[in-house]
Amino acid sequence: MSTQPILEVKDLSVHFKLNRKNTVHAVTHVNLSIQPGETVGLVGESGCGKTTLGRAIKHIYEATSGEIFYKGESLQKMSKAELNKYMQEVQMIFQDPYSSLDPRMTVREIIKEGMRANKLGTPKEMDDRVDELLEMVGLHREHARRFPHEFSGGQRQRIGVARALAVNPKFIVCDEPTSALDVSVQAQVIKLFNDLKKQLGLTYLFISHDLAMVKYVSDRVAVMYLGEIVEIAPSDQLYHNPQHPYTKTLLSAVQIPDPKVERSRKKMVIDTEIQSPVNLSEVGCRFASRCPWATESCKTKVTHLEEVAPGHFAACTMAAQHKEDME
Amino acid sequence: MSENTKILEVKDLHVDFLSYGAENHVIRDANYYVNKGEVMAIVGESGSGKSVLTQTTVRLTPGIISQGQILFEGKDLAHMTEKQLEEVRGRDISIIFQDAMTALNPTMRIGEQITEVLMKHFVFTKAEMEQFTDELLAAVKTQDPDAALAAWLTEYFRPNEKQMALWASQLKPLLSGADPRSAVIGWIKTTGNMTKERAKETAIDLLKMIKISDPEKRLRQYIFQFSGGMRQRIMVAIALACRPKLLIADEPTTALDVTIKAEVLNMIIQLVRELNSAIILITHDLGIVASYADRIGVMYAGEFVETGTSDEIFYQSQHPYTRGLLKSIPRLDTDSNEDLKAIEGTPPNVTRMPKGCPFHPRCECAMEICRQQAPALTTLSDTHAVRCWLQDPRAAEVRKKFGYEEVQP
Repeated sequence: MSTQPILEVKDLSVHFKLNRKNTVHAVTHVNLSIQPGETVGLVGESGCGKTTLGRAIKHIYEATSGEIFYKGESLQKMSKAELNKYMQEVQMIFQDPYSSLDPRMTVREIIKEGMRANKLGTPKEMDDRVDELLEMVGLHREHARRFPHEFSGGQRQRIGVARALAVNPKFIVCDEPTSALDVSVQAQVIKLFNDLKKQLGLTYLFISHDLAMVKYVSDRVAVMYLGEIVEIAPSDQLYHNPQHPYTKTLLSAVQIPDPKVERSRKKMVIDTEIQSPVNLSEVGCRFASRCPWATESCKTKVTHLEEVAPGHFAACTMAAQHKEDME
Repeated sequence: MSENTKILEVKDLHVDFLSYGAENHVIRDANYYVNKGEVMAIVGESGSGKSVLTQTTVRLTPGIISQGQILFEGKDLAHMTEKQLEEVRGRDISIIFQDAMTALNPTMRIGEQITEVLMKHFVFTKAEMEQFTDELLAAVKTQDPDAALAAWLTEYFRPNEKQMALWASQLKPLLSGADPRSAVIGWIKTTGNMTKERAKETAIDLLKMIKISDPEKRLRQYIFQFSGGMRQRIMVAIALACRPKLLIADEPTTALDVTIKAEVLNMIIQLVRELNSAIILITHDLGIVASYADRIGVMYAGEFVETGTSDEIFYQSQHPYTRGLLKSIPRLDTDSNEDLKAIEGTPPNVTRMPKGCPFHPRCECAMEICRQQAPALTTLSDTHAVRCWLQDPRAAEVRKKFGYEEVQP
């Protein structure tokens, strides 16, 4: 890839100290680069660190080690003014549209807050911008006077989107933006995301546990397991030709809304639960204890992302072998 | 399907709630039934009334039943007293709630919560023992003694297979003995009656069944010491402790991850199949419905808009809402990057119901009549019914225009 990535995460780890002895290894040694205009999906079970990674990118959490580069510049080396600019250009949309909007602020105040903090225009200009944004996200300008409780979940998520867009972001971290919404409304919000991307040339990191949903928005998809990215590939490749056993189990666990297809599908069920991310060891594959193909060597060998096909990386020592098996 | 296989039948149920001084008709004209050994799914968006309907079915809501019947094994739950209902709840009909963390008691050990339901339903008073015995003695006189004995044991004691064989062999000689009445009462006192020890054994068996290791130790733990998937499985264990005839699973896996979701559901379905009970599965996840349901009821704004077998709903749906719902869900197995087709708008608020068909403001096929008058239920087959004006012969042209004419085989 020749163009400079808009965002690059290099060897990023985020650990949280619980007490003197115990540490939560939320994110460990993650590498990820995102091109301008691209949508990268980030999937995994709850507790796999996907939200922590998203928040570390938004600079809500401090990295324990490793670096984040924005347009080639390291966050750690940025001056305060540069960091402010970064915080403005990178915005976040939260999972829960009920708790992420201040119930005591009107919609106008909610959307204007970021613009005011970043001194984007006169009060009159900001008011006009609020009206424009509301229409852009499919609400009415009259809604600006109302409070969040007067809206449905889907409408609130639209307010959250308008708030993020108010400061002219380039990059948006969407943290499970549709999981709190009803199925019929989910599709509306996904459509809004796709339209806005085309209209404004945005770049998204789309975090979700819904693999089918991610498929509809992403150019590339990364799969996380216990703080590590275990597979990353262009979306079509990941869904048609998954390499990592974890990706395979995840895909096989998704139920397809079609009884005839469901009856004929073979299932891979793993009947153990995800380990606790407290004090994880650095050796061995983290999925080994649940992996149906695990061998003795999996428990000791350190796995790295390796290119199995152009642009397709998987962190499994057996990946090449699986490929042969499948062929 | 014959009449006698229906374990639950809800007829013309209307449920009202009083709020802000107004009577809100939350459930309107609900009709559904569940056959023995069947998985009946109720789907719909949040606020469509699926939880209210099923919880009102066991009278757990303060809703006022203004009309209709809830027939469970022929008895009408709508007119039972609270005391009679207590006998049914937990024993004949049990519920798995959506959120295990709030449904279970954080201050009670898991063991107590499982045994509580057993001690509640299988410890009998002297009068009850006498009544059961008289019933048994009457039954063996008129029916096949073995079958009558088995039915009697299942009805009052819910034995597992091992206990069934053992207890039947114990009781049989007593029945042909000198004083069968006092002998059977004696048997209930010593064996049939639930004891703390046996309740604990049952609890251990249940934990093994739901694949929780080290059950003796786990019984002494509290709910916060379990992971999300385990909590949900404990709810399953409590719900199945009395071997109920009907299980209501209210979004049992919504709070769980994909990998665990399939596991918990498979477990519920398998266990219920073993008991030959029926399930009402409430969900908004059509993937789950496709995998497990025999029949489906689609709810919108407090009404069933369409009911049918799984195939009828997925391949021959006749209601625009059902079709819209099916088109709006993302699918893993489709190739094209075609856009999802959203249903525009939001479900109506129950306090401000639109006139006519409640779906008309969001319906692409809405006609003039839809805005004026609510449609009636049209029966398409023994199992398939739909509530939509498109079924009216006068709507033939509109039906054709939106592709409702062609019915797939």
